[in-house]
Amino acid sequence: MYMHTWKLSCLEREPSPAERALALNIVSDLDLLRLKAIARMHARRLPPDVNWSDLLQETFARVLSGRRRIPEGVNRVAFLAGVMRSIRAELWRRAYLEGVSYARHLARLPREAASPERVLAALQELAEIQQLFAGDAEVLDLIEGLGEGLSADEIRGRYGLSQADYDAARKRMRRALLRKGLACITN
Amino acid sequence: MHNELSAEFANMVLSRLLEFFEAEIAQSSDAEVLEAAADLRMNPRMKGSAAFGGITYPWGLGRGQSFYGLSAEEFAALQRRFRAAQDDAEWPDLWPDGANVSDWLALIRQLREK
Repeated sequence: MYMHTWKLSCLEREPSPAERALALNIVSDLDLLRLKAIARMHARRLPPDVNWSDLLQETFARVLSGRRRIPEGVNRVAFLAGVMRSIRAELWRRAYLEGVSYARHLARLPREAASPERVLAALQELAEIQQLFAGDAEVLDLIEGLGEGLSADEIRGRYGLSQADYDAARKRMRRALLRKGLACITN
Repeated sequence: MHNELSAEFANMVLSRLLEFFEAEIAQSSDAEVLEAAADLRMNPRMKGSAAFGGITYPWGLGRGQSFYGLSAEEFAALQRRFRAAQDDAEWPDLWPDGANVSDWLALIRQLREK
């Protein structure tokens, strides 16, 4: 597997795969930011020693090498997000083969997530999602409905949201997700 | 058994939400991306914008990496000094680029001379 190595001297800096993809018009600069936000969402579910930036660069390295071809007429960000998911699964398979167990990774999480690990790790991430939207009752309703697998109509019906309320809540949700994905420091 | 079910349920809910979030981000408009960046005082249209950290320049130093011979800890201290030395102390552009490389090198030289 290729992993981009940054050359830290800017004077001899080699463009990253994402930068080359931008130069080749494979994606736009704002698509890169969307993908950054998505990669950071996956950050906690990556094996140790791999960060979201590695995942993002690896995604572009595969596109540039021709291992993954972007089909015509698809949403490129959505397609590349799918590539990220498959790389993440592959990284875990590789980590497992190299003897790095998920349990060891979870052991590095804060003490609250120690036992039983899988449940608490997921619950912790769910709590973070809840916290991200704390104070926005409509978005929290939307999240609750989505978590239960309800459709948009069912969510609107259950929580008494008009189409306009629902759309506005989704818009606020997108903005908060993008903000979290672009922030220099995350909580 | 109960734990297995709970784990499965929590993971299922989380997967549903992350899948939805991913789709929402993928479908977000350019204006929404720019607004979110502006909330963070970032302007992705500016060269070297902090929004591109981890994309077009490194997000941070990895284990065992060095920057002009500085360790990750020393580099973090350098970033703090660089931020403090800038007119706008809040400006988050903390990696060298063509426009500010001479400032960085001057700061490194100062630190080495101490």
